[in-house]
Amino acid sequence: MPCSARLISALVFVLAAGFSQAELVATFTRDGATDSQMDRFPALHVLPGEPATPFLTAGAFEAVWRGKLIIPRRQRLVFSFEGEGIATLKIAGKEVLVSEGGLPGKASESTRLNPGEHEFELTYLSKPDGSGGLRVFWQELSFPRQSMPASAFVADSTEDTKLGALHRRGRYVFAHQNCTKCHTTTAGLGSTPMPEIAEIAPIIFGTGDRTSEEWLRRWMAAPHTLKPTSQMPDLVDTSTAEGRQQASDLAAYMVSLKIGTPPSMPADATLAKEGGMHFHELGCVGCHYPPDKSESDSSRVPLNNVASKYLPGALTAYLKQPDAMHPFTKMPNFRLTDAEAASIAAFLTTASEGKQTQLTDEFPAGDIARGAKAAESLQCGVCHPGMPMAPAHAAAPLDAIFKKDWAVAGCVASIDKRGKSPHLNLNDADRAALIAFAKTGDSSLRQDTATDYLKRQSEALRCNACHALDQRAAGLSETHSETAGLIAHLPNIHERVDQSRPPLTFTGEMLYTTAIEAMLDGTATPRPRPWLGMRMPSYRTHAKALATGLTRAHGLAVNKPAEVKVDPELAKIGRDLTHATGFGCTTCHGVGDLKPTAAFEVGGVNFSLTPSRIREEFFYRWMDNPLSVTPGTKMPRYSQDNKSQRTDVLGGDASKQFEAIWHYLHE
Amino acid sequence: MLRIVPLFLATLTLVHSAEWYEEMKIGPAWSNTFQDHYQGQPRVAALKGILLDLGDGNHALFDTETMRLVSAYKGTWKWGGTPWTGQHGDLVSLENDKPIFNTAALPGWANPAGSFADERPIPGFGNVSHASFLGYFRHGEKIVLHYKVNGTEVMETVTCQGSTVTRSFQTAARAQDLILSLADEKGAFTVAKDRAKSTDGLGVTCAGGVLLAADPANPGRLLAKFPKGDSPAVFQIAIARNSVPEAAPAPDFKALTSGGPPLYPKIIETKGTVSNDEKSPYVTDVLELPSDNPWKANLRFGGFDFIDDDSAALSSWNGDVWVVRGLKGDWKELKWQRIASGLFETLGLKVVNGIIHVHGRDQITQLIDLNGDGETDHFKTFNRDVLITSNFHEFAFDLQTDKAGNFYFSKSSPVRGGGRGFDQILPHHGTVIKVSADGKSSTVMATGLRAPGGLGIGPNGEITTGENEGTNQPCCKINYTLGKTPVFFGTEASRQSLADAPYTEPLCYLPMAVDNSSGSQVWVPAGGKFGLPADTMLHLSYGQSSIYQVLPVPRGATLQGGVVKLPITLQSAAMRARFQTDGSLFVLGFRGWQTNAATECAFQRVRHNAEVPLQLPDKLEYTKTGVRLRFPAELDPELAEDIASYGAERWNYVRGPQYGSGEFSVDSPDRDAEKRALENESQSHRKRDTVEIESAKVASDGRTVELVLAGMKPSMTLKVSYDLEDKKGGIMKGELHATVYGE
Repeated sequence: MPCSARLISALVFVLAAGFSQAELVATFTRDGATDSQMDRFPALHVLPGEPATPFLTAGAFEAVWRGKLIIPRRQRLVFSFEGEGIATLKIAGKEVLVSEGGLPGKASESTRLNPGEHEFELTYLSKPDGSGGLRVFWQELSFPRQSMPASAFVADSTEDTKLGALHRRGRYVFAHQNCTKCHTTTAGLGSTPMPEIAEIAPIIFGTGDRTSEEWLRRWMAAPHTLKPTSQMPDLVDTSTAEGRQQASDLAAYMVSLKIGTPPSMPADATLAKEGGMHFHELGCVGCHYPPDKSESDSSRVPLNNVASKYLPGALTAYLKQPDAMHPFTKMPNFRLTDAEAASIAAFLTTASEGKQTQLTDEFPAGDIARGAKAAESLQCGVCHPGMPMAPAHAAAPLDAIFKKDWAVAGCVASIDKRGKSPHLNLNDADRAALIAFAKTGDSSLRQDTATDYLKRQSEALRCNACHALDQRAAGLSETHSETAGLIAHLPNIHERVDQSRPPLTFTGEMLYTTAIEAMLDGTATPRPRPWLGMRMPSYRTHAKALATGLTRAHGLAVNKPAEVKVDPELAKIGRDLTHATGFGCTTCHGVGDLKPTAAFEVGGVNFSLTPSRIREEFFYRWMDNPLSVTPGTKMPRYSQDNKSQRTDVLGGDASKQFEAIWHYLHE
Repeated sequence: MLRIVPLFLATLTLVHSAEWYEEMKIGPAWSNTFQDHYQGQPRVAALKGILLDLGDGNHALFDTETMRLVSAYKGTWKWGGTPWTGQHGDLVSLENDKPIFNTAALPGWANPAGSFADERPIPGFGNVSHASFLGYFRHGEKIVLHYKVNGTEVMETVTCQGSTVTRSFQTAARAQDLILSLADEKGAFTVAKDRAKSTDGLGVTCAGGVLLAADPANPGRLLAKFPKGDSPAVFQIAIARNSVPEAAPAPDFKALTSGGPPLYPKIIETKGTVSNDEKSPYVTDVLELPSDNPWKANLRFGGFDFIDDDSAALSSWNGDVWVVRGLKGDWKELKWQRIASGLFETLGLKVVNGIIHVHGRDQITQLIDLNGDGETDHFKTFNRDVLITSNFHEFAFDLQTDKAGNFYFSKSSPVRGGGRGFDQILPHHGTVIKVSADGKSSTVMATGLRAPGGLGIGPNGEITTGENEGTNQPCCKINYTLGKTPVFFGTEASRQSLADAPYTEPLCYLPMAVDNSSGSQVWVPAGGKFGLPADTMLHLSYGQSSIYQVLPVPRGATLQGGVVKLPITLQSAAMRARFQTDGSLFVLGFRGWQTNAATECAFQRVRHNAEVPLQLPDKLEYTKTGVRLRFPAELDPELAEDIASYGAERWNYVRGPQYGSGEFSVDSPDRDAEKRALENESQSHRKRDTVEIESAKVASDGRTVELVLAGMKPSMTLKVSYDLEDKKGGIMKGELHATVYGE
């Protein structure tokens, strides 16, 4: 078995499991080319001129979702579609619904399905121009019409989806490693390239104001030892005296790059206890190891070198604005106050003091001039804006490398075949993925889809560290206890209401795109859940694209708050149902300036935020059965089989009562 | 609440719109926990206090645990307390920073040794041993406190005329001197036998032979001695600040304790809504509550019992007791009378031998009408052993009796405001308490409870309680014990004296969708007409406003089992229920905690319609390979023996120090996740096992089906759903949630 094949074989499980929730096998076909992936549920929204997937050209396409439909008990289901195109649904091999054109046209006959798994196949043909949209709905006596959720499906990955996952991983690694910075193309990558292509490495200028020379020396010598997740290549060979000298020279040169930021006060150790509290409260261990831990795996970013890295005051400044010198950093902006940033810096500095990664090598004194020359020869400026680079050493152009076998030579090849190519921080999985990706050509770098971006970046930005998704619990459920001791001294820590964060399972369907974007870019005010000790940080660089992806993943067009024409009579009924005269929603939910009357154990989002946040379709799903949306929620269920607890209002029809509440909330 | 009233004014004006509790007439005596100000500092003034309305804006606070008049002042209070403002933590705080007088936190009377030392087992909490509160009499707006000090019965009135507060006492014969702690001032008292004055202007005079003295160890404390004597006597003490005290005329104690004019003479008439539904096996009739009443009383009823076939008494969270008459009729003319008010969070009520016993946070009180006008004249202490703190969450739930006449109630643990962790735990927190039939003694029968919203006493003395998820409680559940010896129900912080007792596992764990807040349990009486066999246990879900039939399965000497939901629609939370002699079930509930209740409060009657079959399993058995379910009618065998007609899931919970629990696989245990659930809240962990139905076979009776499962094993929840038909085509569709233990 050739090396690359072995690697592929070994990696398929990891790749399939790591990049998405595997619920349905989705196969996209366009002009005889196919691309497969695992989808959480069948849905898409493709605009004219866009491809269905990054690996297909734009234009008319077919999509087929296959897997098993899980039926927990006998159900009599009615299926229907939304969107445009031609859709055919088969269950257990039997055609249940065919629809063409404007897909909401008709619903299926009631279909009785017994408990168990049923073959599910949904075929979709886009409009001739390649645009289209599809959402699949079901309803039953026990629940109203609603989109089919991920929990309804299960499927085993196939060889095709494993290959698709491999391609996607290779594509992401290629972009994320800044490969196109060296392997350029004079023709460019078009007007809508894969967004990560535009990412740049940190800006080095001013490093001398922020970073210690000692740390820089170690960093240049062994970046992956200090930070296993870094894309920084291994540039110097510290097994030789020349290499060690070069590390010192580069460090000396970079320290000389100062903007002139005035020195700040060193971290105040007395603030460390408070900073530790914030470190825990903000859930930092979702992405980081505690600062006193020196871990070498890449599952989380270690912080043990913080004390040795940052000059006085620099860490506080970084925490306040992590993207100031690295616009594409994965570290989000928590919108910390000065006091919070200072205390967290104090905690990190204190806790990591003396814990830095030790290298066995002895380093000579560095020389700034030699360092500058080394930086130029090592092409630092290719990735780091403003750093020197030598044009004469330009690498092979983009189109050329895609004609080669990356397993044979070059950056991706095994160490014995790599020659003078940069030593990138690639593991075996990355290399296998890149080799597979190379065979797809470079066309996928010239385009992207919102949903592929979402899958990549939600993984890269570790959304699942804080938020549950489908059956996957938040990563913090495993890691947060590591720092629980940092708040053990707080006397009232147990007096807070439930600190659960909202799952992402229905986010794209729940919130208007504008509301999602506001949450992601940090402009959502007031905070919907002010009772949480944790807070949603800002991802300004990614906000718009992630919001778009979350929306489109549910087959929806990008949207914003819809105008609701309020029926005053319905609104009045809704008001009575909402307040103590009805369901007493205001026990837990505030309404504008009116605080909840008796919230206990949990908080509820203020109703005044509903019009700017909540989509109507989701509102009915939520009101019908909150536990089906957020397992464990304290939100009561007010109806069963569309029969409301309240029988004397609107005939006891739950849907009508919820509609009345919807009107009241928009009054 | 502030609201903006633009009207036609040139400027906006903020005006105060009264909250309901500011408008509610509570009455001349209000039992509650009160905070006040003592010499400039806030303090918990009385855990079991009675705030007396002395008229003209004057108030006095009496502490029934220490028999001490805590404060007399002119003014009102800042609202607090969960039943009033809904907030968790703030107490009702008296605005007595400029009092007529205050007393320090000591016993109100010296013990037989002449000491005021707080010698209670837990200083600051509970009844002092040498004095006991016997209740109070009401005569119109006048209140006569009744208590016993060092063996001597004392009647006391507190009045205020002008600027003078007069304390009038009638005592029985006194075997020894009785010494009263009268007032505490920053400055010293100058005492001249029957009068005294402090440097801060507090003047005191007395009559009837009372001797005044400053405490030698504390010249700012004024003591009053009632000399010993062989016959009853009346004493008076008049107190005024910055003026000469002028004692009020001595009251006629006999007249004041023989019943007086009613406070609430108006009878409120309402109508009931009687269902004309003929298609449901159970129909619900709803009594209209007298919500529109002249006293603005907020009627959130949390306890009730029948006085007779035609009337019932109901107690409210805000301390009212009402009687409704006309239950036997057509409900076109229901008559409601407010018979008592000002009681302390009364969430349990039981009528025994015609006497209404109402259970509040402070005590069980007998409500006695002395003059036949229906209103309570004598609030007689029945039992007040229970220890309380000021925590908002230590609710006192329910009141039931067993066949021997013993009383039972449950007591919450003092959960903190966010629902996690606990405040100071006292011996009665998180318990079921049994009070002897004569009220003279009490015993803790169960510990380790957190929020037992109600309980039930079975036909053989079995004790059941509900429970809510929280610390050490993974979810709601039905606790069950034979009631022979005290048992521990799981909350470690309220384990109390049962240090080595094992955790008594519940009859059934209830997942959130079944119950998210439990109420009482009630047992179907013999000869009932409710469509269920006698001695069937019903469980009330407060949070889901639902009633479940419990299907018990023997487990050694105790029970395990499951629940199925009865097709009953309620207009309120299901908190309390009792069977009427006609076989109907009356159900009561109000909204005070999380619930899907349709209204704030409803009192309703659930009737069984025998013409419509009840399509629920009525018997559950566990076999070595699965479960056996018996239905009330013969089943369509084709559907019943089709395994596709069933579904099954099972899962476990993790019981630990965290709030609640996620759901954990039984078949593929994730030990790491279970371990983490002990360290972090785990609600987001949801791993249920789908259990294959291997076969379904109908027994010879035609209505029992035996399901063979892919492994029958212990699981904290086993969910079985079914979708069947009887032989007449009637659909039987539903689900059972059960708990299966290994033994």
